[in-house]
Amino acid sequence: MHIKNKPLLYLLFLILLCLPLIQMICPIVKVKPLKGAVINAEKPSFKLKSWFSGDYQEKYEKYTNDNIGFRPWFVKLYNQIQFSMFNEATARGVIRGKDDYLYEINYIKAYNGDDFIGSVEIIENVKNIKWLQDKLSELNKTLLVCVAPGKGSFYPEYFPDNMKKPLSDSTNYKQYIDNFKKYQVNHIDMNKWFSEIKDTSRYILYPKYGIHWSYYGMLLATDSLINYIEVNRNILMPHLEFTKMRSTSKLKYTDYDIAEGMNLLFQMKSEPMCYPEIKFTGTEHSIKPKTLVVSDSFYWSMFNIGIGKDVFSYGGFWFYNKQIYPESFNSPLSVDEIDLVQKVLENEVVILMSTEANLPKFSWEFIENINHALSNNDNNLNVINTQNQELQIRQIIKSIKSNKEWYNTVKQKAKTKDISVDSMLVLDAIWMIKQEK
Amino acid sequence: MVFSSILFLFCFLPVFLISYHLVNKKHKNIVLLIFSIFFYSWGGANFIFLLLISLTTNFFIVREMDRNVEKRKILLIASLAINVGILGYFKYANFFIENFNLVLNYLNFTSLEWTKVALPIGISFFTFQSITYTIDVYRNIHKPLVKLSDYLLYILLFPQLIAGPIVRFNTVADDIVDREKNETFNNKLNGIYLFVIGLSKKVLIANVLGEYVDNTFLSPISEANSGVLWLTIIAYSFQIYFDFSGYSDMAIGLGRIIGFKFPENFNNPYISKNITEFWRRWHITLGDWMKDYLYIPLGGNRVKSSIRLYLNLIIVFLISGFWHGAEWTFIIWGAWHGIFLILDRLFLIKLLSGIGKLPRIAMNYLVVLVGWVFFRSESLSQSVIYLKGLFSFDAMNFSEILEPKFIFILIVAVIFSFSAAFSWGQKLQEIFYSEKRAVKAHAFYLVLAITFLFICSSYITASGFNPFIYFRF
Repeated sequence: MHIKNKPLLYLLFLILLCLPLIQMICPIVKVKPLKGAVINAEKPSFKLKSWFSGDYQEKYEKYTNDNIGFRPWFVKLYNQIQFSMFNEATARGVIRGKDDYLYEINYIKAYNGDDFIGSVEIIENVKNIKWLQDKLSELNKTLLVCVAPGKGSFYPEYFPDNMKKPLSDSTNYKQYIDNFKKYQVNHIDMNKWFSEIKDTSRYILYPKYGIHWSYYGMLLATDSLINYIEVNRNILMPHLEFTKMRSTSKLKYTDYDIAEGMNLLFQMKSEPMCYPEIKFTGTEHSIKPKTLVVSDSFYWSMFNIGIGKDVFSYGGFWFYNKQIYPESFNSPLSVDEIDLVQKVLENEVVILMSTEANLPKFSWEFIENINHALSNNDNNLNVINTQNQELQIRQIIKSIKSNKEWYNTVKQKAKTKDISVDSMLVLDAIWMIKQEK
Repeated sequence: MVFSSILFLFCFLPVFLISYHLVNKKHKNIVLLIFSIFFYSWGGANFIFLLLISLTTNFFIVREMDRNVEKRKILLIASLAINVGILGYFKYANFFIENFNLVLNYLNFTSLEWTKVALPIGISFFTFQSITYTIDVYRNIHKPLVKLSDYLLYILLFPQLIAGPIVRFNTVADDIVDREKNETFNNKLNGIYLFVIGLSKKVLIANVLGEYVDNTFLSPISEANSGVLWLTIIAYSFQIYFDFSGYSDMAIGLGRIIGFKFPENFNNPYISKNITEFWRRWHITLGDWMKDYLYIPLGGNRVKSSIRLYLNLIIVFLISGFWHGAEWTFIIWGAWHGIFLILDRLFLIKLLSGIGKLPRIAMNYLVVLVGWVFFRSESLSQSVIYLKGLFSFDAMNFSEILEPKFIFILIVAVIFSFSAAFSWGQKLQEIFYSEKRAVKAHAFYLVLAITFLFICSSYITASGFNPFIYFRF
């Protein structure tokens, strides 16, 4: 018994040594892949020339390193050691703040003004946005800029000490907001609003370990966005209703995305976050203006709760003004492949959404392209103008019909004028459009 | 292929060990030779054929040397000429041509046209091993090997092929032919622990410190303040120690698993009280080789005049320095140590014998540190700038490199390097490097070894920074 144990121990070692190779060749254990932009080296093809030059060996070593069995576990172990023992966040661009608040570095840079593009460029952009806003307004369309909250502005108190800087006016966020006000560009400053309600909000608005607003914060923002459009266009739209409030420390959706990207071995502890059950109410009788959203990743969470379908009449989501969704889920479709003017003018509302960290490249050439296209396309606008007016008339008629009292009044007027009810509805709708203008 | 790579740890090593254990005793050496040739070819595909041809030639020359008494000396010279010639050509030709051209340019002559020669990996190590084979046979210390395959195995044995230890022929001659008595499971398990200790030294300490050292040397040295320069060279002293001793431990551990008992190469060199002692603890196999195959043939301690003795020492250390690399910095490093060795003999040991052990260790460490400046610098001018900055004491501000990871690893390195100067440190070492263990102890150490193996593997696969210093040699 005593003599046999040493061989057993040696055999155990050999078996453990073989497991990664076996797993690589023939995966026996299901291992969750690593999160993030992981590009593993491919197996190189053998050529005598590349063998003698050493190129094959170098590539094969890289391939083995990236694809050895259980590699995700190894990487997570390394990341956990660096994080727990040495305070290092191994994911590129991730900063570990005080109390383990995690930031993506661009959000800290944005808050500090390290990415400031200059007042001249910002004013130029704002003027272009204003031009588009006015152009769309002529067609009874609404342009709205929504500045989503940034983690840097929301949690500056948790910055690492070596990244704290005095507050500055030379930040993209501040300059954009000031100029939006100055040039009367329609905008919602969610960044400021979130900071204002941060201490009074019942649930966490910005997650400790996430890049984006919390699920709950996003829902509040959605409600606010709908309200703004309603007031701006004087219409009644579907509303977001919380049917059940649920709190849990098991973070969902994007509330843990930075920590997830760090690929740690152990889940980081979190305060409970709120994940209400929701539904959109009034979807049958209210107006759902067709709305195009050109946005960074902050709109994804709104898109995923169905706002595009239930509120915005499938207006479309242009991610960073590049990929078009939902079409790109089935087959990639980019903005370059479509008729820009036609697609934009099909919508009644156009929303441009960005967080402060993405303001340096805002609006990802959307404004420049559409403005240029519109400038060359004035003739087409008259045709589109008529089409839009017809659409508006139909929507107003739908509103009248949904209001019993109002509809009865129209019926009375029709009887008095001896014309059909439908004709009276059209006349009333046209009158209302003129009143708005 | 390096030991501290995923390819070696989880592909080459398990396949090799299984193949090795599955074949019968008669074929073990062939399996070992095949894997060793593949191991070398992986990193030096262009040189394997040259290596095999030169080794085969040397084998037959030495065999003939052993048989033919009349031509013994001529064949010895031929064998040495081949070995030194190959080393001289591949490793030093570029250096000599470059310096010759410098002289020509200085005298306004046209430079010689020369295409730089590539350096085969491990050439310094296997050449010296080959020389020990020739000389040990010549001196009748051991009979030559009967089979060519056994000779090739002795030189190409992958555990110690590319970075030592330099294994002298008579040390392993019998084991090459029959090592069954060494292939006990106790030895195999101890070999595993040693391998993992070496791997941990390399990956968890040397590589981590190396990142910080490289950052300093990649930036303009003249702009670094004195504090940073001191911290960097201290970090380098531990980087090179743990890197090289780590590799030696891995080589010795692997050898132990397959029945070879390679000699120790490092014995806590930084607790040395003088340079003489340092060279009995640092790269021991090189020191022994230089003593037996260069210093003693030059006359050793038995020369009549002191000047001749000191000259021999300087020659040995200049060659030691030059062996490390074909650069003036290595020659100066060797000379630096040679000078202090002479000073030790002249008066230094006697002078400092009165002061305590710890101050002498500190002073010797300082001497070694200065030497490392030459060793690490890319050029003489860089080493001069570094030393000027080091001793300027202009500002001792090293906050820019004082990160938690660096501080922690540096402290660990200091503890492991100097603990043997104290009785508690010696006791700890005895426990960890013990050869005899009960089964329960083996179970405990195996769990520890597997844990550290996986930690090291996680570092290797995740960090992507894994250079090895001694490959240049």
